[in-house]
Amino acid sequence: MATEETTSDQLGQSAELRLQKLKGQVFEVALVAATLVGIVSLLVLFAQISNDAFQPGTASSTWFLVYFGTLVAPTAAFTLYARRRPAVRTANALAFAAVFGGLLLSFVTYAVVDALSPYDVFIYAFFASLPPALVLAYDRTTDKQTYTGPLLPVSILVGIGVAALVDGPISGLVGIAAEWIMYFGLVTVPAALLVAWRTASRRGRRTGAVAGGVVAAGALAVAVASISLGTNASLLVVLYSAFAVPTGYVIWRSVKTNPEGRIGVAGPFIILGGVLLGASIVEQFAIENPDSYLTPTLLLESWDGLTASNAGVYPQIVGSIIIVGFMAVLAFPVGIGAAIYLEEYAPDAGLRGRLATLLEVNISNLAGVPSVVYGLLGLALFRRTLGFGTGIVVSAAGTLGLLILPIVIVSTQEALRSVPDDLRQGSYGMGASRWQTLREVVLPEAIPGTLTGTILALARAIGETAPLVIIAVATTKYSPPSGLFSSATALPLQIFAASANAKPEFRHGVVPAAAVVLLILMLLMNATAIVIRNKYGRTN
Amino acid sequence: MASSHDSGTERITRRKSLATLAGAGALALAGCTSGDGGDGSDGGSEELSGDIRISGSSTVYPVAQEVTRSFAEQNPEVDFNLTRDGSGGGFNNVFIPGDSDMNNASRPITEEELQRCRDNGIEPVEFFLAQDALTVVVNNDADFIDEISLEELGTIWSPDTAPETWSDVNEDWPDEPFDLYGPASTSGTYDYFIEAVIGETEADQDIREDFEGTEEDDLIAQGVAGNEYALGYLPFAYYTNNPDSVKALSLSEDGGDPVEPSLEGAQSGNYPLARPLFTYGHMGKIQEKNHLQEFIRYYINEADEDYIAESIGYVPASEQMVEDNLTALEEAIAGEYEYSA
Amino acid sequence: MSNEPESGVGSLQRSGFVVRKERLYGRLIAACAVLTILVTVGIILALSGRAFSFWSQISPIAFFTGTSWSPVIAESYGVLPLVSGTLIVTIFSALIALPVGLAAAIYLSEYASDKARSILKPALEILAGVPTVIYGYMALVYVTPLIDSFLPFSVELIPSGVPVLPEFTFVMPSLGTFNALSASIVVGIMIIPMVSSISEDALSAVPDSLRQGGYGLGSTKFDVSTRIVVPSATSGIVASYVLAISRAIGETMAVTMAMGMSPQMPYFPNVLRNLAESSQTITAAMVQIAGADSYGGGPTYEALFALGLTLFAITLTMNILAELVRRRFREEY
Repeated sequence: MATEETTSDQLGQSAELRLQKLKGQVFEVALVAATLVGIVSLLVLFAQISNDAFQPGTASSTWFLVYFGTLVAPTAAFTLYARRRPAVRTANALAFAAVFGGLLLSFVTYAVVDALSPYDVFIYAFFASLPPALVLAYDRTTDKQTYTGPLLPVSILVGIGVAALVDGPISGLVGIAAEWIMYFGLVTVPAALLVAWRTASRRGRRTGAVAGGVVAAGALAVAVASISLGTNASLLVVLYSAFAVPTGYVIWRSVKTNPEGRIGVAGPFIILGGVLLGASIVEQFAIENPDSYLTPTLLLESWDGLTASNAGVYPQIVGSIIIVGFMAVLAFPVGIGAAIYLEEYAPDAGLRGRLATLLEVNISNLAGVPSVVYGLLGLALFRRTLGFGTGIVVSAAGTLGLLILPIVIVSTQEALRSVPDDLRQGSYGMGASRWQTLREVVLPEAIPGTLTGTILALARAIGETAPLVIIAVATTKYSPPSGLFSSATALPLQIFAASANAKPEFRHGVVPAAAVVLLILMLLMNATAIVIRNKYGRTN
Repeated sequence: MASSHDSGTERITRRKSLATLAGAGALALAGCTSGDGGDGSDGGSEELSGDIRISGSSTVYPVAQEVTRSFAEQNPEVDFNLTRDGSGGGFNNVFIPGDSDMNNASRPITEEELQRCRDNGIEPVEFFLAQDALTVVVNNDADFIDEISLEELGTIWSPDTAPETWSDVNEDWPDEPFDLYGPASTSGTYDYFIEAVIGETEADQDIREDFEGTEEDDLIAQGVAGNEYALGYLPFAYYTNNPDSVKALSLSEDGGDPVEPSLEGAQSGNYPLARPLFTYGHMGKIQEKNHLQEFIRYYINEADEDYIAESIGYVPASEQMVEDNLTALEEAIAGEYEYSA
Repeated sequence: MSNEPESGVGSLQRSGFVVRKERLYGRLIAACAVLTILVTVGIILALSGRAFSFWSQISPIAFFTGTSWSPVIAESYGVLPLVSGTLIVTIFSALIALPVGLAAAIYLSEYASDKARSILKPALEILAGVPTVIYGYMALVYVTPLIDSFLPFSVELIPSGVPVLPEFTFVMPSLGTFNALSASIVVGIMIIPMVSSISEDALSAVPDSLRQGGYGLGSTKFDVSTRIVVPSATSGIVASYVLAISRAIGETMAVTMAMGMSPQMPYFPNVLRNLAESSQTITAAMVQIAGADSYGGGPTYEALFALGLTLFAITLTMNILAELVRRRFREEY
């Protein structure tokens, strides 16, 4: 009968369908498993490294309870509270950025300037900023048309040159002033100017000037107080200018403009306060700390090959930061310039067009060249041709700068490409020249994408070891580099050098701790890049 | 804002700010002079500052690392640059071209190196530092062997014989291939081993080539620890640095009794592979650099301390050696030193 | 800065000054771009000079076909052991990364929800961002002991007594402290993101109409993904494979730390023994020479540049190949 046939047909079909469905599900599970394999393996390895670095097993359960009570619980409560209140979250995000960003900036600035000698840095900064300031002032007061754009970098270079000449003779004179005055000039003055400018744009010139003056006066007060107390005036001045002032400013603005979200500013302080409170309780009641190797000693001392508990990587951290900073200065302008040419200036056809294609092919090939080969290039260029010493900061920064140049170019190209053409056309329609369009319209839109790409490239470069080994950067240094031509030192190199040491307190102690420090640095940079991309970036 | 009220507040504001600034300025002047320039003058009038570049032996490296570290702690303005290039590598690539102030060596400077130094206008100043007991190690699970004769060792490593398996050398040993580890050719330990153990060879090369050579002596111990049929040789300090991971063999010479590697054996001369460790200074730079002189003086005086034996693993220098070294230093400072073997 | 033309209100003519300024900026920008060519030229020059000086002393034939790499002791400069070391690491890491990367790409582009993708994509990117020193350290200190605890491992696949087929036992020997297996594993993990992200871009670029067509004909998602989408994106997938392999070839620190320094020719037929033993790649040999001999002259130092030039040529060829594959075989939709 017809119905029977249909039923048996249907039954046959559904069995087949079920098999197919099973196959599909198995396939999907296999795909998920594959996707997770790499991530899970890495997490397992990270867990092992962190376990060796922090040694959580050696802490008593009381310790965990204390920190749970002072840190985890309040933070969780605050997060739950903020979850449904976007105003609170905005205020919290701002406060977070100000507090932790400010702390980070203060310590990094202090460490780097201290390593390079505050007097030298001040002299160079002073003379490097004087000519551009003059150029800008001239440009604003005169009606004549000027080549201000290209003049600015040239004037900076001239200023640096003058500083180099003058540094020797003047440093004796400048050295009479106390160290904190140098930091005042380097950190407080820009901070005060920034506050003054922001306040002036809102409330008028006079209020702005007053605000700036208050900031400066505050710094002086801090310096005076710390001198009389005998503490490190320089560090406190930097902390005040780069941490307290921005935090105070952000809190004040949040309180004024975001009345319902005001509580959000408490977020970072809950965390900081929780950590401090927990630490004091642990100290007071002599609760067992974990036998962690990630201690202040690690972060502030220099290496000790015999006693693991004395070993530290401070010179290497500062060295890595200096190298990365200088490398950014070298690679950023050239990379952006090249990307602008390829995206905005180069024609699509003709001889020039083919040259541009060749350039692009060349750049994508350079991106794939192994880092050892860049090391050889650096060796040949800096040691042989230019005759610099072995493994100095300039060579290291130059070699790594060449390494990340293709990446900077490609990501800037993508950022420029993502700016919609209508904006450009609109600007041309108003009669602007190509450079004006670039400067006023395209570049501001492309900056977040460029910054993201550059920071990611820098995060990669901070972990590069092979080129540094090839250009013979030293592995044993007890103090951070003292200048751009002094011998460099870097954190990944120290890890490489110490990896052979099989004593358990090194292999499963200090070295994993140093590796964790490197990972944290890298994660911080990645996080910054992602935050910039999410907050300011264009969705493609 | 009413103008009179305005000027009133203005005046107060201006006066107040002037007063505050003046007061702050006066106080600031008090803290203005760089009184906090020097943190702790450890009994010294001026601080030592400058660069010191030390190249050379990986054997001497642990001593150099510890001494430079403690010196740098007391003299933070002295900038050290310490590398591990091997005794020969250090001479060849760094010291003779004039790039380093000192070269550590686990063997004496050769005639050829001395001549090249002098050709470059460098007079090397020899300082005797410590003694090492070169140790031969095998895997912990290698139950078939506890001692070895120098002759057997020479046979294993010589390029003329280059045996494949253990049983090729001694029938009591298992029929398993060798897995050999040793220092790289830039190392003084390598040079010393060739001279003391292998001796003259008929082949073009000094040593068989199929061993794993490294400049990081820790890796020798780790490599041997990974294979039951492995054999390696390394400085005593690196053996004590990798505790319980490898087994040291007792050495016998010319049919005599086997002697365990130990610092006492090295000091007394009973242990066959006892060898001196040196550091060589660049006389010109010693004369010029004050901080280098102070450092060498410190280095020499530290070489007879107990921690050299206890923490690092070498035989410390004797008092006589320290005296001789100090004399050499004074001669070098005066520019009157001349090296003689 | 004013831009008013001096020639009157109605004119659209740009003033001469602005034109000159434009040209100046244009030239400056172009100079930045030209600098990148200088980098390539610099690399080629830096490597070739010393490399050819090396090849004038050591015959290139001996270099490229010699089976013993012992630069200082035996003064033999045969590069084949190094090439075999590199091949072992590359092949085994590709065995890990290529299937896993493709699977991840298929999942991310075809199956994953937006939320899952927003978490998994950055997570995969982190795999590529971890510094290679740390990978090398983890391989040496954590991976090797972990794997070694399961070894030696032998499984009789074809027992004796079976007619026709010879006996075959699968034997994985115990790992030495320095071995190629741990290094290959971490390199494989490291290059997964290269495969997955480029393949995912290629898979996402396949237009939806093809998929809908497949569904319209009654195919399952499995069929659509494997029989329609993946074949259409083949050029991108193959390009990602080639790029990932090129990256594995150029990897330095992980293999230097975990593989040791015993260049040797590979073992046949006991292929697995190669994984358990120490070996040396081209890049590790370069690091070894640079660490020892980075100032002097002599054939050993120049061998460094010869190796560098060889490596550069290999990776350049592979990158160009990837680009060609991508362009030539790209499906026109």
